[in-house]
Amino acid sequence: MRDHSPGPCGRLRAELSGFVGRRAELGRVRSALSGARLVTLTGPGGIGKTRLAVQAATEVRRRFRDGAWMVELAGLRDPALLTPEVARTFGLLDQSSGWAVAALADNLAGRQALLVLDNCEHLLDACAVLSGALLRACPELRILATSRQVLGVAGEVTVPVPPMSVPAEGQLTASGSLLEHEAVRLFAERGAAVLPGFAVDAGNQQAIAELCRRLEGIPLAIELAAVRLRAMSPEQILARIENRFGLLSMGDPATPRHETLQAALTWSYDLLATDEQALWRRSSVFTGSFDLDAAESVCSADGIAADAVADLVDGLVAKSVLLRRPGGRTARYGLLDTIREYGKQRLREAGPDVLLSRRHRDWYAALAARQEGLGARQIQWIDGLDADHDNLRAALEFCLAAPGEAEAGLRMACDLWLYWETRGHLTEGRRFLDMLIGRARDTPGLRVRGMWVAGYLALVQGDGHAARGLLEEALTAGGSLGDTQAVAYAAQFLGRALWFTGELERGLALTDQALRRHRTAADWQGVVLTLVQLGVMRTLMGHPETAAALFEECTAECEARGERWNRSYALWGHGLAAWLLGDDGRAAELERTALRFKRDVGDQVGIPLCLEALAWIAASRDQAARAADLLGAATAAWNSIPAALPAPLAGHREAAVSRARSALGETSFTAHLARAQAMPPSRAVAAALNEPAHSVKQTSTGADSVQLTAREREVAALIAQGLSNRDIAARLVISARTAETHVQHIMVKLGLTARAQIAAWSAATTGRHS
Amino acid sequence: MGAEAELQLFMVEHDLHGLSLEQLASAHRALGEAVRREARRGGQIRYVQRVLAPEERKCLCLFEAPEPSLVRRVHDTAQFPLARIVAVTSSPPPGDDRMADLQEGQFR
Repeated sequence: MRDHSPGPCGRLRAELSGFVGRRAELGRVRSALSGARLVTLTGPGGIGKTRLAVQAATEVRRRFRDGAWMVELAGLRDPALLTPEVARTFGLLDQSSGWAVAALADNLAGRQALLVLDNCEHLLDACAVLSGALLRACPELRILATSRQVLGVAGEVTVPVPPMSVPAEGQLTASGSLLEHEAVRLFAERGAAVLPGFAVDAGNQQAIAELCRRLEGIPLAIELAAVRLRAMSPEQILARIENRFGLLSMGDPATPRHETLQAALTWSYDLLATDEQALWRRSSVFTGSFDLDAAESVCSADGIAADAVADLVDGLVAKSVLLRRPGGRTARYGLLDTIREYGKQRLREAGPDVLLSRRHRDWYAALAARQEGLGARQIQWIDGLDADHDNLRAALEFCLAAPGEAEAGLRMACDLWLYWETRGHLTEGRRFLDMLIGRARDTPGLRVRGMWVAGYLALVQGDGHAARGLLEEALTAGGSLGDTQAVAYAAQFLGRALWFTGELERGLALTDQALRRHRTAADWQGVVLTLVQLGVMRTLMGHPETAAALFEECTAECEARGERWNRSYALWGHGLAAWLLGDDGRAAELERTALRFKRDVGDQVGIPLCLEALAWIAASRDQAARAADLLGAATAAWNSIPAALPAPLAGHREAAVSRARSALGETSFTAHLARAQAMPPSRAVAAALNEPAHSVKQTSTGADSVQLTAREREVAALIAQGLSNRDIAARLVISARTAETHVQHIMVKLGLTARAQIAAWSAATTGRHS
Repeated sequence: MGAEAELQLFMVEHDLHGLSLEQLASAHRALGEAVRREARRGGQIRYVQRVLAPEERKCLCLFEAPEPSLVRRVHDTAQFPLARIVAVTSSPPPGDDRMADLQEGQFR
């Protein structure tokens, strides 16, 4: 998990140390953001762009009804994955294979939000293209970017981040007034943090003023110097820095030079023990953050023993080279981008270290190879991989770039299939698999595995055409290699792909065949996955009685192994079968159990499936109001992914809708539907489980959010008062086109078709939001 | 300009089901911007043509570039992560001199 504090106001990074100064810059950012829709903070590394952006976003987030959301891009190298990365910040899964920007823009179009894109410089073009597209499609979205270079988008306003103010030479008055300079205050604050009681006084002020001048007011350089107060006085630090900087002449104080920061980094580096220097260099191989176990395995070699790493990490944290990330049960460490770059630079100077990158890859490949996607520890495994998502990507990228590593990369990518599926990293998985399959030419067996895995991910993503091509190829190639496992999985998923496109009999036959093959191979994972698939097919083809036995077998197999994810699907299918067999009571019980599991494991796609089933059951038991509530909750859950009910199930939903609607009458039905849709997802799930409101548990993924934005609710209320779009636009001081956009979004989100329905919804929900 | 690499034609088929017409235009614009930015940096790529089937939400895009990696890069930038890039040739129907001239001018 990233170090964010999620909530209705968005997600911003939690900072560990206090924010110092920058009032003028904050004022500039605030005023820029009130005029422009894209504001970019520019400046060199170490100048404090990120800190300034986080602080500015924290201060202005109240101006945005839907809050401020930060996407940290430092750990993302592949520009093509930018949109899924941004979407994930908003709790959206990556379910579209075409142009993902459209789904993201649809979701953000109704929001008045601030998107913070941090560290754009290495993805400049992609950030520019995405920003432009989002700003055009989302009238109330604003973007605050940080980048070493401007994005170059029309309408972009640039706010250069200057160094912190330093005292002019010879300007020594009272030590109190010295603190008016931000650089001095930063030095004093960071100094007091490492040396309790440290303060600027008559005795040290000259040295501190000179030090800040010498470091040109670059915050990172000042912080690196201040941590040295633990062992040295300001005079001693100054003397050593002057010695190090030597002939490096002072430049224009308004434009700090790269050389100054480099010299400060080198000074800092040279003060470290040899082992600590080695750890700084080697830890630059990590992307994002890492834990101690990883550091011990990856960074130990050539003179550093694994059991020495903990002490070295401790030393680097004390010297602010490594930053301990807040929160989490296991401590994680990260490096500021500039510090990582310096480590990489020193690493390069020491000669290429393929072994280091290989150890890094091996560590994460081993995590992936545990393949605990089905098993008792599945959620720990998946969450653990999520925490190391940036490192997994970096390891796979190494395999793509380095000669001779494609095979290991493809194996790792295949091992990650259930992680990618359960956390919805479908595009990413498909992209890596596609590129690695193209490179791992000498390992036909592995290539076939890559093909069926890629085919499966394509299938989950709704890209049936690509799925079919890959799975057919895998089936043929697996057959000619005599690879029974590949044939079994390829047949299984091809069966599903065909069944979904209406080739029911062929789909069923392939699935049957796959089940036999999995059983013969005693591959229990294959067996339980296929049992669910076959059960669903039989249920929907009118044979719920034979399906029930399959679901029961699957539930028992999973239960015996402590598996929950797949078991929840078996329970869901079993509930459907029981319902079709007329046993409504048992069906509802099974669906509730399934829903509880789905909430526990954080299955965003599974939750609406269970809510739908409960709705259909309620409708057939003539509990029309409850059915309408559940249908509303399911719609909201689908929209939050965003995804839709699979087509083969649509008939059941339509029947439930018409039954509930005719029992309740249009107005009441719409009101129920709308009220449930406006409920936060966790409350809706709790209500479906008949749990009292106070015992609501959070799902393990995604921030809770109500269905409509505050602005959309305002618009809905005005529609209820009978106002036209033009009137609404005038009332809210927005353009008529924006008002129209809001109305469109309200209809899409609530599944309504007429303004009168919006009015009914608004009337039914008024009071809960005011 | 120095020695120019041999330019080739590449075709990319986009399946954009689920997108509104406005979004189709936006996707097209993103691709155009990505190509412009690449070209401004000196990349030898040209967005030759787009053939759109709006009802089907499908489009075929033709690019001219010295190698497929450049075509890949603009698709990455424009957020089409799974684009399939195929090298193609284009020739006029036999016996049509007017078309041949046009091809010559467009594709070299």
